[in-house]
Amino acid sequence: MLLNSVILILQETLEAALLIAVLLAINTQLRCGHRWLWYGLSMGTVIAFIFASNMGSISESFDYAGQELLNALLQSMICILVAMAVWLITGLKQFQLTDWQGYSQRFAQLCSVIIMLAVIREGQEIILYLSGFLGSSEHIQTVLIGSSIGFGIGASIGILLFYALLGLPTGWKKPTLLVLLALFAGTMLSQSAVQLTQVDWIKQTAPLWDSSGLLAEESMLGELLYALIGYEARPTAAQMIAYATGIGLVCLAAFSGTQYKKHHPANQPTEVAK
Amino acid sequence: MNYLSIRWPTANNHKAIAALLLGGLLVCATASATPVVEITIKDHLFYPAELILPAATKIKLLIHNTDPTPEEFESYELNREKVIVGNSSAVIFIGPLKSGTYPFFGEFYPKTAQGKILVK
Repeated sequence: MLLNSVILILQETLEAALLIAVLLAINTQLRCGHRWLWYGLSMGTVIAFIFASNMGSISESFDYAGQELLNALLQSMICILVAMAVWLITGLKQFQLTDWQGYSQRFAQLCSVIIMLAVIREGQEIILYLSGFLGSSEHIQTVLIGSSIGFGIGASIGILLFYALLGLPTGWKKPTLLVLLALFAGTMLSQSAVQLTQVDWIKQTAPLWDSSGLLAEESMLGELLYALIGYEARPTAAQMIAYATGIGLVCLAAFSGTQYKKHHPANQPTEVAK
Repeated sequence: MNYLSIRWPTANNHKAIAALLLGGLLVCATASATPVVEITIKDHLFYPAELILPAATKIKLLIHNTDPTPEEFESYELNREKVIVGNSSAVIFIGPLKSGTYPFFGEFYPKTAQGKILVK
């Protein structure tokens, strides 16, 4: 019971922790502060509670497809918002800026909503899991200890990634962060394709390959790569198309953001006084 | 009017094209009857714990969770994951599958909630 709750909570928190690490690294770089993070986390938790307590009726809506449609919607929204955030921060002369036409503020607001959506998605599962043990006095303590450990490991991996990203050489920082965001957007869209396949809104096709022999999804590295770059051992064509679309969307946003700022030189930010 | 000239998409029919693409992507459930297979969760166990299903067939799994606690149906092999709250039912579509063994488990109570689908 203990080990199971450690693993379950770790799986659920890892993805959010890695996303927070990437966004926090960018915000630190752009000096946007971190108030957005607390807004996102608290709003997300409250809404996750509301969704979790109504999960029964959500699941049964849309001919039993409600839960998947909600998840797919949350994931697609995250993908689009990540692309919008990338648009804001690409094409800047300096990857460090003071407030520039309110862009840094808008970027922080976007990050807040992205975190909120991610917490809603992962949080409701954690809440439902824990709620199952509330009535059982013999298990609740073990489950809470296990969950805290799982949460702690997830948060630690996030903190490690955050400092690793900040420690990157100056020239590597921006491309690494953008690539991670692009892969994350791809992951989100690919996961929403899985959700839609599960309720038969997208036709199930045979997996394109099976790399579970090489790297099982349920292994430690498999789980980490699943959370970081959306690794799947048995992806379908729909998933690959969605993954590529998510990455393409972020690339398009980066290109368009760069072009826009090239043609609006008056908008170039002022450098931060050191 | 030159009927042979190619008319490039205007702002208006961009929307129509997007809708078509989306429609094409979301291939909706066919009206033809999909076989329904029922699974019951009771005391954190699956009944039946072993199912034999035909290959190359789409199946609608109807899972009844008769426990008061939530459970999560999960299978790496089937690439499926769904939370089923206590005293409720859920639908998961699987297949068409190749023959083989596809284990599944309840992620919230994996010690007891174990099962497998044999596709023949």
